[in-house]
Amino acid sequence: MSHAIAIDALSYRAGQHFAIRDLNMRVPNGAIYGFLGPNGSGKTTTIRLLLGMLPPADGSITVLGHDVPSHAHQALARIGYVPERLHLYPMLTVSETMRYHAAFYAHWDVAEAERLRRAFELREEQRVGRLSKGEAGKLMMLLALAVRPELLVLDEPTDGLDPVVRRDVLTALLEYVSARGATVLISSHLVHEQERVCDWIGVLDGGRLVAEMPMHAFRSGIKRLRIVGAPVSSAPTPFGILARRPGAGREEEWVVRDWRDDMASWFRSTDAALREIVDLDLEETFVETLRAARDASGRAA
Amino acid sequence: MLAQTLYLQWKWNRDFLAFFTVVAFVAPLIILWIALTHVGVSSPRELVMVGGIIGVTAGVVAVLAGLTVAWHGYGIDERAGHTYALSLPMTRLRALGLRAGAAALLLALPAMGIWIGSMLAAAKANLPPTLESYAGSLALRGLLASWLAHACMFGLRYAAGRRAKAVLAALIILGGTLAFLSVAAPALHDPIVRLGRFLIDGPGPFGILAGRWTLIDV
Repeated sequence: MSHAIAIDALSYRAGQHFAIRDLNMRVPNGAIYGFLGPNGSGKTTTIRLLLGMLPPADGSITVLGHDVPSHAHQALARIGYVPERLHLYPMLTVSETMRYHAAFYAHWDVAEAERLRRAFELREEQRVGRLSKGEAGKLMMLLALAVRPELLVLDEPTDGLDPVVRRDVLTALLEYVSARGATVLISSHLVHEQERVCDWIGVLDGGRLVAEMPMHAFRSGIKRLRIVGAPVSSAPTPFGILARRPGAGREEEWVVRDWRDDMASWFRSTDAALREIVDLDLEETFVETLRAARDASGRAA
Repeated sequence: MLAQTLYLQWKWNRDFLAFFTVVAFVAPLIILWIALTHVGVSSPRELVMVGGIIGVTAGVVAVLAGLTVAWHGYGIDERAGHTYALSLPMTRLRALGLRAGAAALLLALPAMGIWIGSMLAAAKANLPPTLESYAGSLALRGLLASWLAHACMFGLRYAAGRRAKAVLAALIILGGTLAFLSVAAPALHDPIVRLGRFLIDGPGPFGILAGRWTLIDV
């Protein structure tokens, strides 16, 4: 098995306006997969589908070799999950929550749970309902890590946390992953955070996966070019054009993907002059990818 | 798993359970005390009638306990969209079994309240030799009725989802309307009573609600 998560032709509809359509997604084993997308793009719904919490309308989902949702419980035994909002029982204390959670997992690591509780400075007798947002985030991460999962599914795990707590949570995550080689699917709209920790990227927009590739390819393959005398026609290019925008005078700005340095020579063959190649950071790359996907779907419609 | 589920449900429902257990315990004693000291009940026939009042009260308390524990207990997961329960590694059937098992054990508390309260009440009544007390049977019937009520309410909440409150309100209004019509419109009395008997007397679990609920009988 080469993929921790394999989703094929997945469809799901919720209400009149939201649908996941024909979603195909692969999360390689051992990857830290950043699942990017704007709010409302379907990240949480996709996560709930792959954990078996929602029944798909069509398509197939395989997680750690188990078909979901039919064998979701077998997959869940090997997954640590942190949802976007606190989902624990508010009247239980921290230690009661740990005991409750431990009862359902064969691989619960008592010593590691206690170590993390101390590291996160969570008081045993504190009620979950009275935890601050940061403490709640730490407790959810503790529960996810102490089950010694092969796959961690984290849905906006650091959203709304202050920088110190965010660093603590991410440090604990990265320590676990480096020690055990677990696969991580981390959903977020905090692009810079993803840039620091992820080695794969999937971009979801409007229920469709508009990009999925290794992080280095995503970052290095997309450039902004400043061109003078750009060819008018849609002549075939050795790279993909995500966007073309007019600039001052005869100048144009192109956003291209799959770019390599040797492709600059292509412009000389078209009598155009390539004036500048600009590296985009992940956030710009993300925004341009979304824009291009939306333009393409708008044209198709 | 069952121990942790039981502890969770206990912690979530303990106020209601304590309330219904205390009510189930004191109701027979209070009813008998009122009957003996204020009404002046003394004949065997009157004692049987008082036993019937105690029995029906015990049944109502048991049913209300089952309904409340189911309604409140379901809410613990509903408030978080069932995310935690669904993310735990077990089949839904197993989750349902754990929840039902925990509820069945917890609802034994009001039933024990009925049993002990009824035993003490029967002992204080100085029953004549022609009468018997049925504290154990009454408590067992109460336990079965509370399980049935729990199952019905749990099923309603599961099936109706977010519309559960509206469905419950509609059922209460329907029941109230039928009760009112059976009194206000004599022509409808018999059909409504027949409908009620059909629902309760027919074969099936609702039969536990039928028959005589009494603490004292011949």
